[in-house]
Amino acid sequence: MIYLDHAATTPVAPEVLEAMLPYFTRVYANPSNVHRPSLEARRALDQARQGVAGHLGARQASEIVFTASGTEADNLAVLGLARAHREHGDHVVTTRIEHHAVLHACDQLEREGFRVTRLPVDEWGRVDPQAVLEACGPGTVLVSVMLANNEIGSLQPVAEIAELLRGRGILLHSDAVQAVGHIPVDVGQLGVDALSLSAHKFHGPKGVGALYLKTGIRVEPLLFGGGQERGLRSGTENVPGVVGLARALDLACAGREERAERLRTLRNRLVERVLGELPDAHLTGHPESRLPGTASFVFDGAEGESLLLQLDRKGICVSTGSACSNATLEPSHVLKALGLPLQRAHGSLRLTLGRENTVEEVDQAAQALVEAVRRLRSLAPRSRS
Amino acid sequence: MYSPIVLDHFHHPRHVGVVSAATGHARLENPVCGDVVEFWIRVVEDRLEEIGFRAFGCAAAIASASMLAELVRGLSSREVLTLEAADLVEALGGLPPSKTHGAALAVETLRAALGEGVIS
Repeated sequence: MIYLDHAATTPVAPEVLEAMLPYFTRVYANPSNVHRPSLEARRALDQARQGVAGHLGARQASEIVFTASGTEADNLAVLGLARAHREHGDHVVTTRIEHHAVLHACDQLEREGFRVTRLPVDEWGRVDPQAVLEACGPGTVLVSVMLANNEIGSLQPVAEIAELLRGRGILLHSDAVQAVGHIPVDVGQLGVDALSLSAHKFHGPKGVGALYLKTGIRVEPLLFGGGQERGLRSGTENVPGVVGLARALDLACAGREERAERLRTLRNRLVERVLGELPDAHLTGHPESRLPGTASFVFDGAEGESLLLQLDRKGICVSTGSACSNATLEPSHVLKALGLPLQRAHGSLRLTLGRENTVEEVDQAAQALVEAVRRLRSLAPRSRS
Repeated sequence: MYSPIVLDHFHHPRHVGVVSAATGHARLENPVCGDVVEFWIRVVEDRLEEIGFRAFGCAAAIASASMLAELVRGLSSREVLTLEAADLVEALGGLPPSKTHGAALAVETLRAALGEGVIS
């Protein structure tokens, strides 16, 4: 198998699994109690929190709230921050290319009476910071802009947006689920008030995420119960998961730059091969300002799901955002936001590289992709023009 | 999510391409999802003697056109017109509910090719 779907999820690193195992079987006590096994579990939790805070540049470990997913972290930020600041305003600003964890949370806010502005992006999938500022009014309480897009890999100018919003009393959240562990993420340098991440995107386990929440900022919880995570996220802590998240982040941050450089080289090789051999093939997203491992394309005359199935048959795992791949029969909201002609958006394919991929695998995938596109084009009706 | 029959027809489509001395032709597009199916047929003495297709779309669209071509070869026009999308879905070993429009488009296009009777 050649796995090129790392933006969807990554394998758990062996070191991560090893770090987690004792917390399933030996240190299984509930961290909320005061007997010694509980204190050991509590210590592991505290250490993990400290480690994550350190990697993100947070000032205090208490600024990290562990959740059960990136989606929950996004929901806690968007719903929790807007609801907690309702008395100051009823307006939220976001972009059209956010993950559904943010967009559908914004839909929920609208049902609760909030107003939501969803800003367009340019052809590279980047929002204009000035447009964000202009969208904000006296009633704006929250801006949510992702750091890196999951479909096309484009990076957003979050730090610039933070600079423009400074001193206006508007909270800034960033969904950094695709970015953490892959590009430098420092909450101080970014100037964000809240930031979401998910362990399984950087070789940690599924079922655990985290929200960075700047000290002093109020958020309304989504879950009520035992008051864990400073009352912000009730529910017995997922100690093995949290330990795994922290260990995975340690590994991802150690040697990140070298790894990113290697991925960029591999990614560029893939992109050049595919675009060099196929006419009417296009890279989507920003050509340079993008995640190191993300290659995303659209092909005229070849439908995305059909491409995916042909590659799958050769043991190559990729993703598509094409219309046929989802029940609504429409291309993904991200491809639509880029302003791609509908016909072109049908042929979208995303290949996301990871640390275990080799040059040989990338070459094999490029070759298979070129063949798959040619084959589908040979089956397709000829253009009438 | 796809049946082995669908995958077989997708990976090894039958009857691809233009038919020589075609007596009918049609090309239809699903404006929502973008699938396009094109059929050429040659009807001789009310028998569908030869059929060819081209298709753009997901595996369901391509497999539907391929399977339909296989099903109707040698049938009379009347027999072809009695075929419904549901029959095609059944012959394919089923399609996911969100994909049955692929079968409908193939059936509709073939009917148009029959009805037309002349090459457009």
